[in-house]
Amino acid sequence: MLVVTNNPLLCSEPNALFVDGSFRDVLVKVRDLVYSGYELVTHPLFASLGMMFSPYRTVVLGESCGRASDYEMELVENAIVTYDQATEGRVRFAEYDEDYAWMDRSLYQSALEDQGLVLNRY
Amino acid sequence: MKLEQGLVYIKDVVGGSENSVKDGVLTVDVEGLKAHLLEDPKVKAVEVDFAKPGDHTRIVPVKDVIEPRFNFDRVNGFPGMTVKYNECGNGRVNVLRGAAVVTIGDAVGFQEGVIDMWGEGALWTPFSKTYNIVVDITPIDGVDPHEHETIVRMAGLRAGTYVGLAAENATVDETKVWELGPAKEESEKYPDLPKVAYVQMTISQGLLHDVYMYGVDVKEIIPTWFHPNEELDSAIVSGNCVAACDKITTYQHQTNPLTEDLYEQHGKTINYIGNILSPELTTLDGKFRNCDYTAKLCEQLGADGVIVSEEGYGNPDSDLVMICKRLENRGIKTALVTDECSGWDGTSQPLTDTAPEAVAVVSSGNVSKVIELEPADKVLGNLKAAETVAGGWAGCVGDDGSLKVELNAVIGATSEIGYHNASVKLY
Repeated sequence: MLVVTNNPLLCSEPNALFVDGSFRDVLVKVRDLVYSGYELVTHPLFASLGMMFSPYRTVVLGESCGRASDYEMELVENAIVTYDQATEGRVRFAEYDEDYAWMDRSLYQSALEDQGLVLNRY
Repeated sequence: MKLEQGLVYIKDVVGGSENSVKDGVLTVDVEGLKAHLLEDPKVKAVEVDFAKPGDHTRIVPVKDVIEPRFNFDRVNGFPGMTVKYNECGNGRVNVLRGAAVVTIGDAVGFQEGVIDMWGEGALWTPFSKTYNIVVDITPIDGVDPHEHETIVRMAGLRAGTYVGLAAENATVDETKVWELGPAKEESEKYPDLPKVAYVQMTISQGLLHDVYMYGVDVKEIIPTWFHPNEELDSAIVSGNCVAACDKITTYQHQTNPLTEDLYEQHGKTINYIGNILSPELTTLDGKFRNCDYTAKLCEQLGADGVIVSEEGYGNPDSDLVMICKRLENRGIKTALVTDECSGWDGTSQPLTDTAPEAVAVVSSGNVSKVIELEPADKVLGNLKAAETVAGGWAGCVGDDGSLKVELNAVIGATSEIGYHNASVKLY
């Protein structure tokens, strides 16, 4: 399991690959890893526009099987397009960054609980 | 199941010393309501206010909206949430139609949306037409956001039930009966009509991204069939507070127009075979499992056609499209209801995911459309919150209190179950 994140609350998470950059930088890193054969465990995007404006994002990958999945490559590319579209022209509002970090970690933890058994195999 | 709704049309709301309805005027025992909500030791303070159609009032940030009701034939309240489990969907219930409990308050810094009761903003939200009992709940100090969300959610539901006491002895203006028998019986009655199921997707991913059925967190379940009456009788409760425009509030679950329209066509053009709750998970494994399972349920039920509604935006688009593909590949005709994130000019790719099988798609509007809202005379809640609700941005609140926001920020503006005001105009 590989946890690709720019969330400071998760930088010391086991298997964390810390990205010193933006939400978009995390998506790009995830895309590169998916192209190199890593399996996507969680979807790169959140489920709401409210979270699209989060400065932080955490995406869980599985192990590298050496062969990229067509579906996952398309999915992560579309995620970047969607992210760019949704955040275009927006002036970032930094006041609630701490809350966003907390929420991102909380949703990451829910994903782990959801997939707990599966993740144990990694 | 047979549910008999006695609709009591509300034409005004006032404060008083009892909960009652007379000549369409709802009286709310405000002090009693406050005292009732303060019985929860985790609620520190409660403020109650009214917002009526046409008032120059802005409500922000809204957490949930609840329709006040009184159930005669089961324990009154929200089974599994505020009262012990009781089966929903049978018996008699009086409904204060036209009234709504609206909860407000900050659980985390960024969230939820705006209801304007007048002007441009009122055009976009269906809750500008309801007489709103606005409940501002402050929890005790030191609670974390999970607890905070729970406290506010439960207080809102309890407020709905408390105000709903007024419906017990009210004169009913109209009665609606929702009745659907076992699938076998209905199919025998309408052997020549196509069987149609309704798949209702719900955000089910964690804090501020949850939905509950009979108190069960639906991210913990695999997709399940349920009787349409159960939702119309308050079995489903919203626990998500992040996307104002396409969040399905508890009120919208209680009055789901897709369910009501399918009922309307039952026995005429279709044989309505029920609803399927399909949780939108965050993991791909979970998405594959739930999408397969949803399509399998539809197939096993013998559906000829399925209507699928989404909740949220972003990763749920993948579920929507996957369900569509799986249904169409099984030979089941599928129609999707979703909103679009098409950019300020409306020309960008509307969904995160697409598929050639998605040939029948109903759009409930472009969440990115920018609207300008004039200053309010009165703000219930916190105007500054508008900057951080989805659709707001730094600087979107003018010095005079005006707002420039995307439809994202407006509660129910692009409801993906169709409980909203936007429509299509042909040129």
